[in-house]
Amino acid sequence: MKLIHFVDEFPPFFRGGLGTYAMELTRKFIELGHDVTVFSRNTGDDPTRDVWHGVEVHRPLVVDIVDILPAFIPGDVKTWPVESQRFFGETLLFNLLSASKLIKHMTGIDNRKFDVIASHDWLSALGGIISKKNLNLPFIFHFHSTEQGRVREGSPTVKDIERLAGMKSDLIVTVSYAMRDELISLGYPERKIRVVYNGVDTEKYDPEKFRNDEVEAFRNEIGIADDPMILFIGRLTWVKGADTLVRAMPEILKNHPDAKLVLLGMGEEEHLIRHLIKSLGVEKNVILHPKYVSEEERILYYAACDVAVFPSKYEPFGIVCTEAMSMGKPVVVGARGTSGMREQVIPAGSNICGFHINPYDPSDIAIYVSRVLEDDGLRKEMGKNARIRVIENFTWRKIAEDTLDVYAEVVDGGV
Amino acid sequence: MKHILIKEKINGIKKKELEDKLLEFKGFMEIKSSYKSSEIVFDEKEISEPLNLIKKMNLIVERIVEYR
Repeated sequence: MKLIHFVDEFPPFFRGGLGTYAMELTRKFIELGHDVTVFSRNTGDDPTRDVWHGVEVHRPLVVDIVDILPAFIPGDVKTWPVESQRFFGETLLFNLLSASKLIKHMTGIDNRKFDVIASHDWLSALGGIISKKNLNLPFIFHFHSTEQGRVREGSPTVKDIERLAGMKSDLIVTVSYAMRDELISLGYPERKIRVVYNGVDTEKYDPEKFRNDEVEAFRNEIGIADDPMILFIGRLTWVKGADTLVRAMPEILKNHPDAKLVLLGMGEEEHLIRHLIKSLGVEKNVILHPKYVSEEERILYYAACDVAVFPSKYEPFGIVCTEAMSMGKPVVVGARGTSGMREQVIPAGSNICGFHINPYDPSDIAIYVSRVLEDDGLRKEMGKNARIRVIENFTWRKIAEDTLDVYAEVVDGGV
Repeated sequence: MKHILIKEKINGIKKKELEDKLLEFKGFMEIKSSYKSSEIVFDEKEISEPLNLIKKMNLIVERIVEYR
């Protein structure tokens, strides 16, 4: 198939997890013999045309249109901070210029043919909608999250863009059954929704790749040595729950006084978390690393930990959980509301690989983290099961094949 | 803010030399070194020129993260 993808982030430029998803998925599409053309946001003065691992990438240059926005933008956007309005303007331009290039130049002048158009989240929805209308091609909208889930109240404009994309699309792909249920509850037609999970590169995220002395050296470097290590990786925001995890530490320390919590990530809650660490008196047991590190180094954090904890309050899928499981680590995950991690982690029985917790309750987190830390046998069993579960269900190859099956539904005219 | 992630730890004289060169570019803030990698932080959107310099110095750029 010849695929068009509109996606806000694409390597080497990232903002969040979507870039990793787009990178891994398109790379697999190429390996499986398909052609992929990507339209992605130009984050400044990035190259406007590029080829990345066989993927043709276009990034139209955009300009600041914030001064003209009030003349025509919807009401709520006018109340956003200027920087956010500027981002909205860039988003509009990225979508309009990309669709124009695809429709008028690549298919009109160059006479190129494509089979499917896919857009990812509201940031690239408009390009897909316009291209579908002009080229009369099937359009797939990938919902990685919803405005309602991300920011509760949220922006009516962003919700409208999501709804328009959902309605105009031939099929909707989303990342978990929890997300499917959320979309149905928001009024999206169930018959159009397909679930395809996210994945992980199980060869990169392989515990066998790390020697014991290498892991020990890293643990010494970050101040863990032989102490039990609890790991959190993610944005420091309310929704990810790092603050609740810090609040659980005094209770965890009652049973495991040497335990150390390592938080790797940046975000708006950094100051709150620093304040919490001090006010709870857990300075010696919580290590905050507010920085970006290379993927190789990030994998080392997983290799070094005894348990990974992700107490998210809203998590459509949760790739960090899959990464930790692929590294053979037990996981303790938030399982309230929309939680894709609940579907990844088996919390009981012979295939147990972690525990589900209430992400609003520090005591619940403490009980289950303590249970993992106090039982070496259980920890090893969970880690072994976690790795098997990922290899069987969450490899990028499987995810790519499942996604292509959905695309084939519309190309073959089945929908 | 843009964070250029380098796949090696930059420290000592190399870090100082790189800092001196990057100070010529608008928005350069700092080089943060980690265990096996480094991040070069810019408060600027257009970073193609420093990026070219970094690549010329044979430093491998893994990714560029835009932090809002």
